[in-house]
Amino acid sequence: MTDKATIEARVPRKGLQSGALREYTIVGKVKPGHEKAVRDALTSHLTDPRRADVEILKKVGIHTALHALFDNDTRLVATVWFENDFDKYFDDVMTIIGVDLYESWLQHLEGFPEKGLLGGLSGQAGIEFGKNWLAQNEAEVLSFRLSFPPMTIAEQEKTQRLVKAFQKVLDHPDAEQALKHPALKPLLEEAAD
Amino acid sequence: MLELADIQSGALHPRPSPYVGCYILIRIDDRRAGRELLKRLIPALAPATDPAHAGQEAWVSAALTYQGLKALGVPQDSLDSFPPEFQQGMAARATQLRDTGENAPEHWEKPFGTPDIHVAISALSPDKARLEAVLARAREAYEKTLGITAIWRLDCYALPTEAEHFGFRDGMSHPAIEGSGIPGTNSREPPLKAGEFLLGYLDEVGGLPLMPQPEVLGRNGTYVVFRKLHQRVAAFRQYLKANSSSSEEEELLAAKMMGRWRSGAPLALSPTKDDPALGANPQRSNDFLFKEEDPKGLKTPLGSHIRRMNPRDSEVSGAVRLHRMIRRGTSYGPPLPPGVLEDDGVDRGLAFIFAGTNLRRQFEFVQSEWMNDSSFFGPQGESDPIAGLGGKTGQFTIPTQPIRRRLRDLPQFVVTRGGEYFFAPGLRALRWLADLDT
Repeated sequence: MTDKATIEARVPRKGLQSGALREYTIVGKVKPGHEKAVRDALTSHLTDPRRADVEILKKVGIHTALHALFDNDTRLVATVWFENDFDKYFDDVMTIIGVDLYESWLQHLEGFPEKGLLGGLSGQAGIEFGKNWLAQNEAEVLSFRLSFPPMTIAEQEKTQRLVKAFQKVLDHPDAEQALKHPALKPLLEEAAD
Repeated sequence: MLELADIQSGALHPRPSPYVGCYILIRIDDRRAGRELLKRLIPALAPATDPAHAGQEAWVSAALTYQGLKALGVPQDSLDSFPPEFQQGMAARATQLRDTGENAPEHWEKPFGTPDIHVAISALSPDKARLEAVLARAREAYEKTLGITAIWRLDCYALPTEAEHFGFRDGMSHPAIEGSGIPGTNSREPPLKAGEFLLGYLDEVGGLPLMPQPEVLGRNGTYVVFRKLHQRVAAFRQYLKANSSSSEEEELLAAKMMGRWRSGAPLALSPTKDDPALGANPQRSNDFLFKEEDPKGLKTPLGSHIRRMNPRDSEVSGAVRLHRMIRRGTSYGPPLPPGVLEDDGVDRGLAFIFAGTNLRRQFEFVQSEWMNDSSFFGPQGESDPIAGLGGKTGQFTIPTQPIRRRLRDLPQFVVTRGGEYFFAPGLRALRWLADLDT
């Protein structure tokens, strides 16, 4: 089930929400002659350790970041799925991820401000400008449906640890005996496959 | 360098301890009268260079709401330069602040939630005699001027135990502010940029905070949040009792919810039993971090009050230094006698005060994202067990070895009875306001 995100804004937000997860999508035209530059910027995470660091994405609650070029690299779509409020965490995103990482690909899109993502403003004023510019350039996503209730990053990490631990338990020669205890019945029911 | 002589002392200095004080809210009915009020008030205000003002030993501060600035006749383009949340006022921000249900503005005590709050004066002093002396002066300013009306007053005083009403020692944690000369209480936390608390100086984002115009009005000012928070002391005591089988267990449970023992000793430094000497020692009681020694929250639960309000170096979503707060709470109302478990119907609680340069990024962010949700550090659905709304799940997880403890059916212990956003100008700005000729 999708709900329109109730994120307050100086510019109305379009992003949709499904449970704990929100989406944000930009569609833009690549400036003529900038096709290679934008492609290089968006694949730099394959070679640049700073850009490859997914811990930074986790730090600001980004689950998924997808960027694609189409129509012979003349158009770009970028979509981000994240678990925090876009407005509220935007200062954190800009401070932790860094404005330069966004500018590295955004600057190749038509309509990108001449003075850069922060509009030539510094500090908090720049962040407010960037926030509103991005909001103004959102595409209207009509449907954002997840087949499974989304978990936060912290919940997913806990779940993974639990599954791994459970498999280790099952591999123990005494597992069957141990799981016969009434308190462990719910785990025994998951042990067969 | 901070212009300490221009900054109101309350923005920087911790309150006296013990203290007596009061808050007065004033409505301006005539702009000239409002300006006259400021003219009379200014000499009573303590600059940060001299907090115990000229031997009076009283801390007097003044602040104005958006409606108050408007009532004074501040020009529209200047009014428009204030942040939207300040312009809207706290009641209009109820959704952002999660002031819903019992906390919703329609249930607030008047005049909160109305446009009548224009000026706030706060006076704090170590004792009643000195408070009366300074109040007499302030009273001269507002009682003798026609065209302004005092519309609300709240008296506050430190409880005999120097604790707030749930029994916890309070007022022990504040950050060091670069250039202020005022040390913080945590030696491991680098000083925060002055611009987090005062307009006109660089902030943690790396630039100047958004400042209202003209510069003479904005510079050296700060925003102040005031909230009257009713505390359900009987309910809190009942909950501790119902979930414990001895008074020692009650104390530990209370400590796990707060993150400190009631003496003020932090669980981080004293995880299994209380240490009142530590709690009473301001140099030590706040001198700790979380990440290396307690990543899972086995000492200080990740969802406990102090760890939510200031995660320090914990692994959380977001940049903690962008969301630090200066808090200046004072208690109001008589204590519920020890051992009493039935509510006596008396209003008691906390006059919560925050000061900072970005209402949205500092106060509103912590209130909505870190107080009333838990996804920033863990599973969804839990909220602050002391000050939160009970959360979607009503549960509070206490990481414990070997098996975690999970409390359920957590009631709401704190109810918002009203609040407002204020701007506390520098002294030069106050003179500019007093000299307006519109």
